[in-house]
Amino acid sequence: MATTRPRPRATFRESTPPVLSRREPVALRTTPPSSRAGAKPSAKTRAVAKVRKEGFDITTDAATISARILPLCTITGVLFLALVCRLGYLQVVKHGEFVKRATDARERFKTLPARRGALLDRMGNILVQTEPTWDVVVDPNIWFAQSDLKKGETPEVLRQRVGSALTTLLPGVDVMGILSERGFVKGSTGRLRPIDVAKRQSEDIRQKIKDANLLGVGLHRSEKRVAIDGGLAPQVLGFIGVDGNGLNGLEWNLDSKLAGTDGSLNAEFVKGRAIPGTVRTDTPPQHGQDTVLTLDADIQHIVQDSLGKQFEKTKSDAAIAVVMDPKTGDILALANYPMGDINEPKKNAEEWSNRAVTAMYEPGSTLKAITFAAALEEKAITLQSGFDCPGFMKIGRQTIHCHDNERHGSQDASSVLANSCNICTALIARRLSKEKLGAYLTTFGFGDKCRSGLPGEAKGQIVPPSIWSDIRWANVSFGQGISVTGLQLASAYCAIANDGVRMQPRIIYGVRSDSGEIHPDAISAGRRVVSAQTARTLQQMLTDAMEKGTGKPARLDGYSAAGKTGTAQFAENGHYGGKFVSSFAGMAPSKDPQLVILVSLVNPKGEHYGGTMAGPVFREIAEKTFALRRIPHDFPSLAERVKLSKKTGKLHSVRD
Amino acid sequence: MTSALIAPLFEPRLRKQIDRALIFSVVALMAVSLYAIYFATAAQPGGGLKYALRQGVFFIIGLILMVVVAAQDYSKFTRYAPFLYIGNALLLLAVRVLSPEINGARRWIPLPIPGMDFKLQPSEFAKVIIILTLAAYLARLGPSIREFSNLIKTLLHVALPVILIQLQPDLGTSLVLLAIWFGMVFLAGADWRHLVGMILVGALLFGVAWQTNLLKPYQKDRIYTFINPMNDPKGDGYHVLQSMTAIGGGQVSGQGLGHGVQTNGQFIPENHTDFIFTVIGEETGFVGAAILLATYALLLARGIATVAESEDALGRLIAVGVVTLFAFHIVVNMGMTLGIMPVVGVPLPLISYGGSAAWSMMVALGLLLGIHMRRHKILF
Repeated sequence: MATTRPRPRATFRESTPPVLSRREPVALRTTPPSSRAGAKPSAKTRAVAKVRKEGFDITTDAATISARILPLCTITGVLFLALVCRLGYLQVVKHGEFVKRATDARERFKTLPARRGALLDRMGNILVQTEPTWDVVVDPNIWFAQSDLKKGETPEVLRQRVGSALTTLLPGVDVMGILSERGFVKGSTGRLRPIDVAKRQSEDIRQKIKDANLLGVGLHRSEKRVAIDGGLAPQVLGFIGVDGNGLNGLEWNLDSKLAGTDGSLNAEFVKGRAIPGTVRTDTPPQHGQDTVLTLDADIQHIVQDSLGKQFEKTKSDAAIAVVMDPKTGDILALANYPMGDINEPKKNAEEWSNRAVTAMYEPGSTLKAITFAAALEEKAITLQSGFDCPGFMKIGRQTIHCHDNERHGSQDASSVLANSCNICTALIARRLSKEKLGAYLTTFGFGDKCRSGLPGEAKGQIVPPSIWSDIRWANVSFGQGISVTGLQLASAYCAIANDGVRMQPRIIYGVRSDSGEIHPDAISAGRRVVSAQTARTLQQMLTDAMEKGTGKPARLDGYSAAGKTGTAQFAENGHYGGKFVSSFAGMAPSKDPQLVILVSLVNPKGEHYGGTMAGPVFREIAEKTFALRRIPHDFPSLAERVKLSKKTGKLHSVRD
Repeated sequence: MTSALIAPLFEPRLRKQIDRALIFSVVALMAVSLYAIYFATAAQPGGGLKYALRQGVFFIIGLILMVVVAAQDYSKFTRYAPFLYIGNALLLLAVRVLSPEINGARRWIPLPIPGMDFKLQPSEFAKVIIILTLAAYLARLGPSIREFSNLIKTLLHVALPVILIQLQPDLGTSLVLLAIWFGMVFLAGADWRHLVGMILVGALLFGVAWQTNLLKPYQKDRIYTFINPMNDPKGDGYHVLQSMTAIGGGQVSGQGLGHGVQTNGQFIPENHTDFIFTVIGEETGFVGAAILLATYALLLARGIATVAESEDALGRLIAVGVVTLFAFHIVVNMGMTLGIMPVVGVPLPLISYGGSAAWSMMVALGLLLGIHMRRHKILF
């Protein structure tokens, strides 16, 4: 194959490598015209032979050159002309079709989803919010398209490879199980169905999967409603369904505000992004309103902790606790047990019932405070009024008892409350008319919805006083034969704590603006239900009830408190089945109540008296909340109080 | 040393003979290239300036190569023809061992240049090397090319690199070499009846190759798709259809520089390499595309003028090889984006992104410039 520049033949031969000499016969054979079988050498051939002999180069012959250049030029020219014609055809003649095709391929109408508003506590802490998540989807079609049988990469091999990689990236997901169970199923279009491997994965996992660059694995945007640690007050907040709509609790009640309005974008898209300059309409989404609740996450945490422990310990059927600010009517904490996990909303009605507002029960002796308020306000009794308890009382054909048939004997009004004496309370109620007592119950908010902003509030049940029998008259005075909700009871105690002014209970504190500022709603004006004097007297009596009476187990260490125990038979399906509700309702500190706390336990095992069951929960909530808020002690410690009462035989009184 | 390399350029008698029109067209094409590469990759993450700057560096190195090559007497290169031929074959063989597999092909030799991911593509240089060795061979054969046996020998000369390149595989470059062979033997004076006969035999062989699965399935698919792109608009026809859509969408005056919707949307894969004409077609429209064609026409016209004016057989043969090289690339590449040629991977000369291709093209242009400068024998 060696080649060299054309030179005179003599030189050429000398410098030719041996391999070239083999070519010689070829050249020689063609050179003599006679070697061509029978053909008469033409003039041209002769000329060529002559030229070759003399070493003249034909390619410098002007005629030959132009004869050969012209066809080359023509071919090139024709091809160029074809290109120009084609360009003209595509760009000038047919462009409309291509413009349309290009636009059709890309134009899309895309929904810009609105972000669901968060629910926040009164300090602006997140209770529950929507976080972006990613669904992991596998498209088996790609394994078939990309399989390379030569390298042994069958779709099955690719599936195993992707599956094992995903298994390490998605802890807790049985990837291989899902992939083999769903298998290679053909859809109606003949393509294989994509497989949902895992839903709602975090940004962190998304990044890892992206980095792993797995064949056929896609990530689709989704979102998740997330609350920390399973959520505070799950029954208050509620949960959302798969379509993102609130299904119960505040999520349901506030759905229209929280959901916001989806926007839309009509434009041409590439890989999910709008191409600049192609946007036709662009309506940005109106994100949902971040809503601030009156709940205080810290107090809620304390309440769930304390109540939860007692609920477990007493093996109660159910338990509720409500903590309110009596000055504003704000619900600071509200807990219900059994309690669901907000992040795992199972449709277990028991766990998702907000029974503190939806369930009615007989309040028992906690309601005596209202009977006393009415009697004091109507001046039917004073602190010094004396009563005598014989241990039982016949009303018509029925007999009422104090609990355990105890006989309290001679006592003043304050002691009636402290001893939780049913008979004397009934006697006090008799000093009021049935209608008067009924009117006060209504004024305190019983028998009607609280309108706190929580969904599903029950009204409670008061039989109209006009048709009360004498026995019901007596029963109602100490909290039987009347149904209330926990929230009603707590807000009635708020009225006492707020010197006789009942504030509207509320759960919505305000909204948080986009800039992060909290804008509180105005507090609606309260309604006076009893005079300040009456309220203060009652606070005093309730303080005594705790210091010397049935409320002893609820006494606070270093803080004064006023409250009342209550135990009532619990009616199920219209019958008393031997179950009891143990309650404690109270306020603290007595001098200037900051908190009203109601605790009720349904069917606690062991004892069922309110003081020993619900009292300690009241105590724990109040003490921890005061400690949290750094409220100074206003009262001797429990140990000092015990020492003092032994020495003097007298009670330590708040208003001494 | 360096100055000695380009010293001949400063001799007045040669300097006056520099083909200024050719240089003008080369520089104009380079400017278009940088613009098109920039906007073709602008929408890619890490694209845009990065590719355009790298191509700029390739061009500067290429211009130096062109000037150095032009300064040399072209007969110098053909003196080393056997070494060039063997070295070329070895490089094409080396690819089989050294190249990473990309899209099912092994065509590259990775060069360890720090900070740059650069892969040499020997098949690009094979184009120029074969022009040189074939020119030398044909010049030596002289008029005996009219004999059929000699014509076959020249074909065998080209067949070895073609086979090596087909092993990579790279149909585009194989066809380039065959086109160069055709252009050069035709100019050298081969009997046109022989050539027609060989084309017919070639067509027959192609039919056989088709039937016996000698062609790779993807190569067959490309030919099917070429016949009817709408047959499979989401698969194999996608490329051509998107390309035609982009160019058609350019209309008469284009969508404006940097405003190509298909381009910015990254709808056309490889739109900075083989499909770069779609960017120009979409953004500058018929006017821009026609100006580009005119620039190429100027370049080719200068090449043909060199062929016609050169008084030396070797120079003439090299020149016609270079002209064929360019013409084939331009027609096949543009034809492919316009849907009138099958999709074979050949770059658009001096425009497509890529170092090896740019350098091989500019060495070829260096040869052409050198031949033009020395076209009159009297000057020697």
